[in-house]
Amino acid sequence: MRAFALGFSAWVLVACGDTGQPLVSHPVFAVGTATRTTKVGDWDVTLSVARVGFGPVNFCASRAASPELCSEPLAEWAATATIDGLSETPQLLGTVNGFAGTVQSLGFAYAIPWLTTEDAPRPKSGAPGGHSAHLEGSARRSKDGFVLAFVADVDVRPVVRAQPAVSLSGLSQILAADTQRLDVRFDPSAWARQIDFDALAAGGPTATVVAKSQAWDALVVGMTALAPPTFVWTK
Amino acid sequence: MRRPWLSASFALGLALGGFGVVERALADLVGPVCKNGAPPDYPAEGDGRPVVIKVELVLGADGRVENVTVLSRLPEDAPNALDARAIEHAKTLVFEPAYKDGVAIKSKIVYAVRFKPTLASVPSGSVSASASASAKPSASASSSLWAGAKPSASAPKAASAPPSASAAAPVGSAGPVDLKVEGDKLPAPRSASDYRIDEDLLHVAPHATGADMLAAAPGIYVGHVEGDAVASTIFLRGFDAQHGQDIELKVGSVPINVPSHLHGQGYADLGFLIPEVVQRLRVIEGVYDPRQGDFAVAGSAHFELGVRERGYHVKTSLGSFRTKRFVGIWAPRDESDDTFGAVAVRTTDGFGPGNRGGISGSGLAQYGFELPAGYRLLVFASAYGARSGLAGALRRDDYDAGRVGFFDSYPYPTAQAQSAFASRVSLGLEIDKTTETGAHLETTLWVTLTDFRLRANYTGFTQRAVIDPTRVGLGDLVEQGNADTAVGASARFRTSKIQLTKDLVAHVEPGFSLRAATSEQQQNLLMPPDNQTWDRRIDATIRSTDLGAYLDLDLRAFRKLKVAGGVRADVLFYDVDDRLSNSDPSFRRVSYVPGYRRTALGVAAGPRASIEYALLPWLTPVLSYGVGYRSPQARLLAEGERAPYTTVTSYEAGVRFASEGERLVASLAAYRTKLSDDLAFDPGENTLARIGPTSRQGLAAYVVARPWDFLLGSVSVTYVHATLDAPPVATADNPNPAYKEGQRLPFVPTLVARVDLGVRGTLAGHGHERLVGRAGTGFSVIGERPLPHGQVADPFALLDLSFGLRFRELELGMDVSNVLDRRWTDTELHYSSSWPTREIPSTIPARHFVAGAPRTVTFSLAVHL
Repeated sequence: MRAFALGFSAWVLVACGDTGQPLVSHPVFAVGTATRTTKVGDWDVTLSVARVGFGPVNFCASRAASPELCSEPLAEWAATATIDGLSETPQLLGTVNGFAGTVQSLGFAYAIPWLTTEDAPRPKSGAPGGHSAHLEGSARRSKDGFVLAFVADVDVRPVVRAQPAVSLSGLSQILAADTQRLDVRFDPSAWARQIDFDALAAGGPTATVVAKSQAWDALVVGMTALAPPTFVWTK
Repeated sequence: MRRPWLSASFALGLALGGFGVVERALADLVGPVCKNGAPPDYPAEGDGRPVVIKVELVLGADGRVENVTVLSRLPEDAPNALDARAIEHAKTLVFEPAYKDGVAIKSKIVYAVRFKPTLASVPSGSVSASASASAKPSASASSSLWAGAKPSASAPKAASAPPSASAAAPVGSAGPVDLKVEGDKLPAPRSASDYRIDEDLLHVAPHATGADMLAAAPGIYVGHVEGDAVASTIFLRGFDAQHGQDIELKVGSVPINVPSHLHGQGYADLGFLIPEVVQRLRVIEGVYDPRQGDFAVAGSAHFELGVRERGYHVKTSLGSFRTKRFVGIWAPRDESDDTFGAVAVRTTDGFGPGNRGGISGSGLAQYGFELPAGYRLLVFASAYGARSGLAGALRRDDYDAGRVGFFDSYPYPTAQAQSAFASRVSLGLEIDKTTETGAHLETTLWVTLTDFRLRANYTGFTQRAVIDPTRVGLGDLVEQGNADTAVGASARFRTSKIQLTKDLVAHVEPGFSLRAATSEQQQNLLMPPDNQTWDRRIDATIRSTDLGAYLDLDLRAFRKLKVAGGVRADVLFYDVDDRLSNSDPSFRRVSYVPGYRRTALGVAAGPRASIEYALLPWLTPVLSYGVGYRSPQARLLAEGERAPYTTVTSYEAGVRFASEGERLVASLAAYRTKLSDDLAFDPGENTLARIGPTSRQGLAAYVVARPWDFLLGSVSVTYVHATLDAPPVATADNPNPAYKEGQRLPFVPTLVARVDLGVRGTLAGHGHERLVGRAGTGFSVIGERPLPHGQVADPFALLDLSFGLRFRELELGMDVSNVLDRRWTDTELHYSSSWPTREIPSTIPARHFVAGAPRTVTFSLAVHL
């Protein structure tokens, strides 16, 4: 009888297992760059303002972050925020919620997602001035000292409804209970490097980057393909 | 040492009474046979109405009546003097005595004396409902454990009816007698978890639907997740049987599960059942009987219908949420309990803000009558229709943040348009005969037509059209249609006793079952309010045939040992016309004609066996083992595939206990089941999806007690530990799902406990002017339900109460469910959804729930004529 009681007790203890793939959550920070000045050909470009709208972000266990393969993300940061792209000080954005597993891809928007319930991409509360990014700066041409002041309000829109604006793949990041934080590192100066300042300066000492212009497209390409933010997890 | 007549009484009580957990009669018994059942004259004291007086007879070993006790009189207000006339008549009866192992023994039976008026006996001016009744009165004999509490004559079927305790031919020249000592349609128990629950216990606590009666069996929890017109969800001993995928359900001889149903494999809607005519329930938990077929994975449940109190019954109910219900029952007095007609109509606004209203109507009719040569025919017919609104599931985070109320639906048209419709028409014939040598033959034929249409949105706005992928976000209102036409038959023949040696006897039973069906299935995505179709997902015709056969051997040795078991095999044929398979999206050049027609065939076979030994007169250990199966969802089969059955292997070790006189019966069982390929509900597609192999192990305890005639109660506790035995099935979303050895299976409650307790007695008056009161309670405890990702749904307990007062023909009743008005979740789910309740909807899998009903009060007035 005693043996039975002990056995039963042990069995009940064993019965208290878990259901696998536990919940994980950790803070997500945005980190800007201290590099305000960069060399672009004959131009020394200095950014004075780089407010960037960011989010939402889906982290996928699938190899690609398409809706077909990642209709149920492994983790997410389901919000938007405006970050200072020129501040190296970590800016708390919120919390990533999800499940333990391996992130192989991710998709995100610059605060203008195209939700399934919307007929077009709409800027969310984190979009600075209703745009994905607001950049201000100046560029000094070294050969003649010409100074160009420029302002850019850039929109990065998903091209297909319910798809992320930017997808990154080839990741292999294990999310686990001991994952401490995620830093999303932005380098707006790298985006500025994509601009043809000679062309932008053709209009005079001040320039406003307009939609569909070369500078606009260059910034979009920089933000989405050539210099997207990097995601760094810390255990 | 027990006296012989007590033993016989005990055995007969079991053999004929059919109530209780325990089958004790391992010895061969022969029931008493009336030799001179002359019809009683209609007494002068009678008022012209037919009267049935139920008496308990103690029969000596010489077959003479030694003692007569009046148990009940119907109608209750019939003259008292008829009791004496019944006793006088009963004392004139002479019986061929009961035999145990060939030795005449003392016995106790319940016998119904029927006084039927002849035209000459009807007093002038009186109204007789049976003025045309035959002048050939009949008497029926039966026995029941709770006979003392039954207000009317009853002929319950025996759990362990010995083959020779069956229809007995009248003897003597005194006149025709209809003596019925009926054998059992339910075969003898095969495990400690083979429960038979009689109507006394089934009706102790309020049960709003027939399906709810399942909760009276140990380890079963019945949910109403999708409203009145969708089958209840059933949890049984660690199985989330959903709408029936893991539990084989039968009503009478008609199977209820629908194979390959679009909404869930084995879909079984018991909505057509009218609780008032459910007379008995057998629940086998596990797979130990070769008669158990498709879907007997967690077990089987078999409802028997009948009306014990004969006459006309009309009941009207009014209750919370503007619920109105009408029930009419016609049970001819001259017929057996299984002959009746019943209708029920119910309308309700449902709880919550008008999102659960429904209307349903059901008609059931059954007629049993004797055929020449000792055959008995039972005809069954039913028709049912129901339509109801669905509230759908809510995200837990939305509720916690106050974005939706507990009983709400989401405020979007796609969520407000959820509804369900179901209809069912069924006909059944059952012919059976028990020969004088004890052999039993039974044949059934049935045909069932069911229709099902569901519009449900579990996921919000996540779906993208297949035919035109640019269509997205139009609302995931999934429409499912499933129309099924099925015919079936079964037959079994149990031989009479085969005396192998002096101490070794056997019965052999071959049997077969057949089911052939055609199902039309559609699944679309709709946009309310005019149900515009914005995507088509399924349009298929499935033709299927299931042919099963078994051989059962029942071996009994040395009067104490019983070894039973055999083998069962089933062959399934499928022909699938899947008209939307291989469809091209609109942007792609069409290169072939859509459609995918294929055929598949599979075979499943497995043994079933049990051993029991009457260790003590009151204690019987039982070991059981069996391999069962569940048929595959036909639409998922590939061309030529050897239709892969899901197999379940069940083990059980238990004991059955019964006190002398069976005032207390109990069972305790430890069990283990392993399933080769389990299924779980996928809210995205509104159907079931594979999750891989699983296993369950646990303990089940059950006690039924009747310490006094006025008190009846049962307590059951079932504990289960359910685990996933292999990594979850990989998907595109989750190609490498995390898995840990011993990972718990989500959604199934670890503990299910239930208490049913009822009292009944005379409050005032005497004779036929009595005021009879009753009170009953059902108390359910559902333990924590593990959820995916280490989460847990809260346990809950529900208390239901039922009260009634009856005076003569009038009965007032009040039922209260969820007396404490607990806020509880009928089900908890975990999946990905997208509802625009916040700026950026979450899309990771999240907790969802369906609210359980708040306190519900129903008042009823019944008239019994």
